[in-house]
Amino acid sequence: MNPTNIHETYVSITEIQLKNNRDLEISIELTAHDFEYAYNKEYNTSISTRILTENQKEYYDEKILFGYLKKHFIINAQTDTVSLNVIGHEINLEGILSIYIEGSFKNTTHNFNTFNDMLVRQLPNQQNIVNLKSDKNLSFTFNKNIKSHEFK
Amino acid sequence: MNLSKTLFYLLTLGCFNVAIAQNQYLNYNKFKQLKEEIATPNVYRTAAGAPGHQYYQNEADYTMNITLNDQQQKITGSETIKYHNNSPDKLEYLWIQLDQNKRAQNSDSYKIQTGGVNSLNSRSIKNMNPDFKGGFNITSVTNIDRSALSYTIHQTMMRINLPQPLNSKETFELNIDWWYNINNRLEIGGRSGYEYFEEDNNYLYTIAQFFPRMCVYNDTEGWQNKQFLGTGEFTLPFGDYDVSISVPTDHIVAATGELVNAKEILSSEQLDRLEKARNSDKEPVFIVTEKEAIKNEKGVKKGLKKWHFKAENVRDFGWSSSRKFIWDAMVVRQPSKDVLAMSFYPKEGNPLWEQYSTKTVAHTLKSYSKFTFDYPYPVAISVHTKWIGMEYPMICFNGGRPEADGTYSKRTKYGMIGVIIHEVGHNYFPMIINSDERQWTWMDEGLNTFLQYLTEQEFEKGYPSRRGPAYKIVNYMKGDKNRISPIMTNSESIHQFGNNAYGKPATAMNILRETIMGRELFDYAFKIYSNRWMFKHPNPEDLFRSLEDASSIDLDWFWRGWFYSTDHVDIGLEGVKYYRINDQNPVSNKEDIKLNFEEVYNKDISNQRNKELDTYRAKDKGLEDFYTSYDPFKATEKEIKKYEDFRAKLNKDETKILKDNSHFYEINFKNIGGLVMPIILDFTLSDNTHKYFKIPAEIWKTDNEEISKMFAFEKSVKQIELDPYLETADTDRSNNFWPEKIEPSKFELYKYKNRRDRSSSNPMKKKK
Repeated sequence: MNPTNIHETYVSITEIQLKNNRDLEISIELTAHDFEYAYNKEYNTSISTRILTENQKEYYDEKILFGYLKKHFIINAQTDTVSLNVIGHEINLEGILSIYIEGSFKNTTHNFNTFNDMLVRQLPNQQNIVNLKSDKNLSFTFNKNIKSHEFK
Repeated sequence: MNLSKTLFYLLTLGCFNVAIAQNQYLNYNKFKQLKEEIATPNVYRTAAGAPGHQYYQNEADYTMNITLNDQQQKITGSETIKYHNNSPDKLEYLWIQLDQNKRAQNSDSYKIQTGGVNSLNSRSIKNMNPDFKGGFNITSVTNIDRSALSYTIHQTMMRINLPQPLNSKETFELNIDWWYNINNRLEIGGRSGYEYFEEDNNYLYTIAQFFPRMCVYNDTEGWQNKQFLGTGEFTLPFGDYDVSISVPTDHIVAATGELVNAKEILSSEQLDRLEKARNSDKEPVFIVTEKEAIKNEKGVKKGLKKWHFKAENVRDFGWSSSRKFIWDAMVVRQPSKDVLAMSFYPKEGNPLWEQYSTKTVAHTLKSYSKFTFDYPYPVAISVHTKWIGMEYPMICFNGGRPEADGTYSKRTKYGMIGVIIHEVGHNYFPMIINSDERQWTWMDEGLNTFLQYLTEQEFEKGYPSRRGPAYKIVNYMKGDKNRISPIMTNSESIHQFGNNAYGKPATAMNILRETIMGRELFDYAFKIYSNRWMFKHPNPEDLFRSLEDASSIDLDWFWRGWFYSTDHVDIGLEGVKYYRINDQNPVSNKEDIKLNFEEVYNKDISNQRNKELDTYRAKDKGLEDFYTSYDPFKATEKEIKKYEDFRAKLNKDETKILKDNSHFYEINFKNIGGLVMPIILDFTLSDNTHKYFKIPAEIWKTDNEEISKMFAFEKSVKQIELDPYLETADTDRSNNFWPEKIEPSKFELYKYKNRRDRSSSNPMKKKK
């Protein structure tokens, strides 16, 4: 059985780097096919891709992508909601969608809360792994039952 | 405190003490041999990893008559199973797999789904009360004389209660009649089922796990009758199949085995084309063209046509049927036999499928055979589906569909080629090297994904393979350990199925090949394993032992770390110390001390400013004494004499060492991730030349956590890099450099590279 086509992977991997206890640099990797499936089910529409001549890679309409992330990937500290800014995305030929996000806390912090329910409603086996690199290295796995976690 | 509480307290305390005592004396060394984890060799499986002198496997031959009801999407079948008990054991009952019962309305596979209210979605709600009436309807189970046979069905398993035990070397025959409703694969899911094409009101059936199939009985599991819950796939005995499939008269059928009544059911033109394909090894030949398929899908002819297939020594049977099929084929020449590579696809698969499918099948057979054995079956078939990849002997169902206007992205193209390679590759693992998928998914998926990677790289330089290279598994292996399982975990209990059962074992094999064993030793040993277990049922230890036995490399540490643990690789350069040899010569030694002293003295700010200072002693000679002219940095005659005496006593080798002008570096390595691996180092010297070292993992054999090692060079070292060619899956490269070097993160790389031109669009669409 091939996991690419029958959705046996069901995994996203997010790398968060917290710099100076304030600035967030985030990259999210999702299976593009999984994302398209989940998006189409959630919004009952079809997300379209475009191919660029320069490097033959595909991209989505960024407004659609940003809207999805705003709803499904949220970071905040105790009194400080971070406005996350998606600086871009790309889909490689292996079918991996990479999304790049940055943001800053108003005040320095060691602890923050992450909400992550990407794809879990449509793909119940989806697991969203988040690896945090700050003054220490931490990792946590979100799934359909665990959508929120405080990194501390 | 009452008596029972006191007793409980004492017992608890006692257990605690015992536990501590046990832990102190257990061997936790990562090089500890795997004697406790793997089965003891015996007459069935040798310590070398080969089948033993009393190895046996039971067989099941099938004769089946199948009818496809295209109006109601229903299959009816009657089968005769001839079961051969080659085991030394007497069998009181037989177990038969009823996989379709996974879709029965009372199936356990629905009941065991977990999650709270916040995890509800349309499919999970539907699964609480499934409305599809799936599952086998067994209408008759009889002896060969058609007398009733006692049986018991438990979920996806059926026990045949034999009238008399089946003795060793005896055969038992039984008949089973059945029918079931075919699932809509796109709505309900599943490895097999149908796709409905609304535009032309046609169905494309990909049919598998469609008949009651014998379970495997063997020396390690007894009966492998774990229920089919949806994840752990199948294990089946080998046997011969004689299958007749009646389908609508205008359908084209692809199936496991050889079509034995081609002359009765194909037109003379189709027969000519098929013959032409048997002699065409460069380009596929159409047996049914797209034009003919389009004409075919427009009209529905009445009546049924029987397609008759025979397959020898296979573990299963799959088939596909549709009036939409285009059919092409080409021959693959091998030293031992020619094989017909074929594809069956609707017009919706073009232009991708006519260009790539059959050629990809042919390429896969050539590449896999090189690493294992010649493909032993007469045909290898790729059938188009919308999206899925699923394998059966000689036939597989593969996704990869262009857009409606015929354009497609590169991702779709490579995805399709990758899935065909993977599914055709499954003919080798597990269809021929018949491992137990219900127990160990990795034994077929992992090994197959490894060969898929090698085959993809042989297809095209730079082929975008998702799995294989060590660096691609890093993100998974460094993740939350609560959600990672060792590879040696039962198929139904695996966290992160794709990474665990496909990615990690494939990467482990590639690391063995590229880094631990080297290509020559690995390829020989892997071929030995493949040939030993061709048409047999291997277990994990048979692979582990074969690779060790045929290569002379003790790999127990590798299996322990990569297959039995969730440790990851993170080796860090924790400290570098620099040394030179002191030859004890008082002249040069004192000169060095003088230079050091002067360097410090001359740097001092006051000393620099006081250079021109006219001092009292300079002006008054009366202040001079012995120490005015005494040079403490000059070797005395006594010291020189002592050194000459010392040199005179040295032998030739000792004199050589003293003259050594090398730069010595003592490097401290820390094993942070837990997984022991070779230490691979690239030293950049002061003249920009490189020195490469590959130290086997055994360097960790006595201390698994921290070690140090000396290196000597003629020049001083500018930089040290650990794992320079990304061979070991090291999860944190920030500690792989001396002096410390921060590698940019994925985010940083993206941010600083040139942004793309967003104005362009699909070039294929533009050209149209």
